Amino acid sequence: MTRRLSLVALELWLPVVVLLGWWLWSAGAAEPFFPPLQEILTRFREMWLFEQFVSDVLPSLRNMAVGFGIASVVGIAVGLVLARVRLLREAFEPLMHFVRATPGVALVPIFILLLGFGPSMKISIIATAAVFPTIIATMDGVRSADPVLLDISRAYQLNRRQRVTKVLLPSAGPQIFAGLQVSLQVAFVVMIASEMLGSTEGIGALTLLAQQSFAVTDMWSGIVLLGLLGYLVNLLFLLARGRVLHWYDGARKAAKE
Amino acid sequence: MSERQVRLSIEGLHKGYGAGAARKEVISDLTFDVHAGEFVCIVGPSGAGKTTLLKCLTGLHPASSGAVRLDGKVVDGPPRQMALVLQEYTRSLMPWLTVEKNVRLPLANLKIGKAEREQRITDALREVGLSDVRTSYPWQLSGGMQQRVAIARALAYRPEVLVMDEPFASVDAQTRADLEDLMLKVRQDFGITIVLVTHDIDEAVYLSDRVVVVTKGPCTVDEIIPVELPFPRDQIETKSDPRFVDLRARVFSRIKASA
Amino acid sequence: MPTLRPGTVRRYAVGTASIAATALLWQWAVTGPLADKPFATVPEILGKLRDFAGDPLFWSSLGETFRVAAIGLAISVVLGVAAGLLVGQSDLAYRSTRVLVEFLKPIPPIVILPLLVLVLGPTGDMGIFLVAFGGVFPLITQTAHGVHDVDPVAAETARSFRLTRWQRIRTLVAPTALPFVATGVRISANAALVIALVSEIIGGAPGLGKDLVLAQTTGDYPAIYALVVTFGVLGVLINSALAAVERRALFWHSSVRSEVTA
Repeated sequence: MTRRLSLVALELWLPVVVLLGWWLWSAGAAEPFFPPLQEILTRFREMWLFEQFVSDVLPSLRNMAVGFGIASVVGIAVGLVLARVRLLREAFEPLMHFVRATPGVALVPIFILLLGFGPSMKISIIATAAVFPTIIATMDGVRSADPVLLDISRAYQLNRRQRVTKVLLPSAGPQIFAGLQVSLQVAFVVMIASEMLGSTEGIGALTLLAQQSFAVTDMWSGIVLLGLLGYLVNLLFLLARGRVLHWYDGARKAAKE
Repeated sequence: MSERQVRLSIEGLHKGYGAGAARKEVISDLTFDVHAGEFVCIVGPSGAGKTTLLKCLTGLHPASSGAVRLDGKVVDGPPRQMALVLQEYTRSLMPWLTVEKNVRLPLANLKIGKAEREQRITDALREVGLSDVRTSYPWQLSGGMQQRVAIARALAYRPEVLVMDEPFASVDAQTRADLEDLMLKVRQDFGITIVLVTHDIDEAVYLSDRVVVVTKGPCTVDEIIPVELPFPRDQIETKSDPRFVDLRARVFSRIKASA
Repeated sequence: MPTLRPGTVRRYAVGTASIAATALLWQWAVTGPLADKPFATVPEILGKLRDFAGDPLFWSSLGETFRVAAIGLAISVVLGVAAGLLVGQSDLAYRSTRVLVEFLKPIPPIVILPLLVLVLGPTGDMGIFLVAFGGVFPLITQTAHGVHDVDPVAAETARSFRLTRWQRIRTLVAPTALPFVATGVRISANAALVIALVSEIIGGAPGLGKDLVLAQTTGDYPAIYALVVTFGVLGVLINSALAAVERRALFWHSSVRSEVTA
């Protein structure tokens, strides 16, 4: 128990010191760009809990969730088809690597021209930018399925649906989730970018507007919220991944021992 | 035994890869029959093309010419009445499914009720001695136990013919002996026909009603040796029987001559 | 000169045909059903790319984007490897910094962009800082992971031979950690160009990204698409160059054989 406590203390002392240091230094320093941490937290509570939560935070998160959801489903489906159909794969692979290498943020201006500034533009650009990492990872994962398992599936007469849902997708699971994680990061960045570039609502827009109007404390409170969200979204993803891939983590651990 | 019905017949089987001058013949004019309820081991030197032979037998690979027939019907894809157990037990089980789900997976398509399906799973796992680990994952089990899961999966599928490729080549000696005895018991209890490919001469003689010795490059039947040792067989008694020793020497000399 | 196998030839043929088909489809769409939408035709885009090739302004923008990405990356490599070595060598340092690094790592650099623009203005320095911030965390964790990965038996052996600290680092830690560092560099390098462009598109720093925003506001559609094509080509070139360097330098390491999706 004491060992456990001292481990927790060992992991937490530095973050606590950093926060305390920031608090104390910013309270005394009259730096225009670094307002007291106390004020940032007060603004954080005033802005996000919960006055602008419904008007700005929720739409941002909804756009990202819908965009990422579309990207996941389409990405896995397309990746699966490309893995199984050689001609399609050969036709689309060069194009796909090209589009994937294009930064999603660079597509935002085009989508604004096409679709305006509304949520449909934001969801479309998030889904478009986020779909490619998942397509490519799914394709690679399905293609590297163990031929022994495919023989077994044929010998035991598994039908197409079973082969896809019980064999191919689970065996590609680790790679699919690696792809989904990249897609999620892209979705988060593009969510912010689509708000910063062409919008007056959303967390990204408010943060950038605050910066442009020198509302430094408001800007800081936006940065803190975006930072927390970035961390939490990733954490949530890792929890979901751990649930789905617990067999994979377990097998790897067993193989190491 | 020879009056019995022929279950599996292999007739003039050829299998080769490539074309023209680069063509490599792996199996050449291979012919033998397996009777219903029989335990046949195919034994030969390593690199003889035994695995290719097995893929043709199970319909996973098409034959170049000749035919494999199961109950008189030409095998042109994996037949429903056949089950498969492979050497690579870590790769042939689904690591994302528990033991019982691995066994259940092939049963989902069979036209049997839920109650019968669950009964078969219970029976198969009891037969191989794994009733206690139903909800474990394969990777939590030892190699021998994983191979038992693969055997249980095959048994629950209720095949007429069980085809096994070097099933015990990757387990330790004690486990191997246990699994060999398990296969003899399974044949007894389920009355199925078993074709087992191995490079281990002792194993072939110990398990078989007949041993099919195949030669190397290209693979063809060298000799079919009947094993008239009494059942039940016993790891110590049977293996010290002078007839066992003779048979082993005979198989060994055939293999050595052909290698 | 490796001989081309029929499969490779076929793959290139299908790939080229599909790119040509895409260009034709695009051309048909933007001259037909989408003619009144903000698109540009294939000849317009190609013409714009040709204009770019002879335009010193384009090249200076490209140079600026590259300068920002390269300097930012260099800073993140130096800082990240140094910090990673420090953190990876001592269990105390590793545990103390873990929460902080794990918290900051998943936060994309775009989050701190408003602050950087406020402090540094829409400048190249702001872009460099942003690239360095984005690249440093993968490098810290990869390097620390690599140092941590040193085989305990080998470490024990080194101690029993009474190697000095420097000898130990050179003969034991460096070879083990190097492949991990290389992976970190590749992750960060891939991100560097993207982050540099973000600093230009959203932060307003000079470079190709700012040119894109200018083209958008002035309605110069061919320039928009020509710039996006340029980004894609640059990205593909950088990815394949990094993969080639890594394969050549670390051909002996297993991590190179199985590509990671990063």
